[in-house]
Amino acid sequence: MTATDEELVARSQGGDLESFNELIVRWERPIYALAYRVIGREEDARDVCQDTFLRAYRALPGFKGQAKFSSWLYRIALNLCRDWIRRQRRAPVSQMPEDIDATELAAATEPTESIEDLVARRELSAIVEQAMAGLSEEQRTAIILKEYHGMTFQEIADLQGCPLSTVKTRLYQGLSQLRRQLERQGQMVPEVVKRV
Amino acid sequence: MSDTFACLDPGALVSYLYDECAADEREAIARHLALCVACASEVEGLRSTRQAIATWAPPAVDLGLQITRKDQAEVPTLPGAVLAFKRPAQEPAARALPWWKAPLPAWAQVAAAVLIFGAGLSVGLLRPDARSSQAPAPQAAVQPTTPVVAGPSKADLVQLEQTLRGEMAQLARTNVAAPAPTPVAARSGDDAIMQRVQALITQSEERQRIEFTERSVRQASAYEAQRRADFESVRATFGQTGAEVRQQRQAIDEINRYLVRVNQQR
Repeated sequence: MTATDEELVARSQGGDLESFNELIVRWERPIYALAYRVIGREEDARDVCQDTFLRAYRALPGFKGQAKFSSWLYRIALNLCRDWIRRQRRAPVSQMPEDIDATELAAATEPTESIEDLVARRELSAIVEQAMAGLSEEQRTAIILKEYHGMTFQEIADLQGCPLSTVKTRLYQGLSQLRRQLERQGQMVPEVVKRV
Repeated sequence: MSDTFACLDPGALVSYLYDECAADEREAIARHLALCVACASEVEGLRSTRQAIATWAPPAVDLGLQITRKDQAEVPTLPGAVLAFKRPAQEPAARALPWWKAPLPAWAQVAAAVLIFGAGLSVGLLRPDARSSQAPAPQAAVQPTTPVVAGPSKADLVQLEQTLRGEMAQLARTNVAAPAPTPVAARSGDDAIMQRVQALITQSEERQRIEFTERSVRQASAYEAQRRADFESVRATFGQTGAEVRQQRQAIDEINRYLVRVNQQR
């Protein structure tokens, strides 16, 4: 039977290193994905991910379980991302994908997906990444937590330390800006055109 | 929430979009969207945006993070740190280049070149029109006992392969012993090998061309003999059949004459 996060946290607090490593295995990918999407740099996201777990381990004796372990981890990661952005003192610049390789594409193609579809998906992904980099940090973080991590408005509000209504406004404004950007890039048909 | 929420209210539209509202609120918004084109269009646009941004995936990386005791750490630890991370050691070059993009060793490149050339040569020789233009060779002019030109045999090729392998092994040992060989020496060695390979390939091509011509002549002769035999057989069969037909026709005529006589007698 798989142990819950809470059980693993309790064992880790008792000095069981393997239990904490189990938590790392469970959460390293979501934390890395969050860091990458927020700061937009692969190597730095890797470092943020590593720092997140190191800090979590050091702070583990003080974790009383008021929040979910994952929420606590996300909070640490977001604080580190914010520190990173402040250090950079500029908007995050996403790494654009390198030239597309047909062999890699063939290997990455889903069984039901043609290479043409995969190329289109990757191009759209690159455009989305670029458009996301143009959002404010608050809007981008709200959208990332909602879209890619499935958090509720309340959970996002707790993490961002703002009212729930602010979260909704950030989501709405961020999505609207992304929509306009994608329409300019020709990736979406404007609703006005659809209606005609 | 009441039925009279403000049109294009961001909070309401976002709540509806993410399906994070109470049932009565959702119903009220749905009723409004059925009547309000502007709000319906806005929700549809946001929904399309959500579908588009779902394509954004972070690069696949092998994190392999593992917290470990300081004395077992494989990376430098912070001063005073009790624990440190052990990350899988990865060569930058190996991480940048997948295995199918990594450069081949020299022996593999030579082997691949010989293999491709041999395959091309075989295909060329098997094409019927390829030989006909180069060696028209009328049947009468080419004798079946054409002397075979002394080309490289299988044993020669095996010997060449062993020689090449030996030289490559020696080259590899030289590379290990001396990481920076002089380019001139390497180039002259490669040139000599390539010349020998080229000469052997030319001899092999000549020998195969002659063998192909001989085989063609033999096959043409056999074909002609078979054609003649078949013709004789057909002719004999037709002759036999003609005789049988004549006999049957005579028998029918006899019967007809008999029937005529019987009718006349009646």
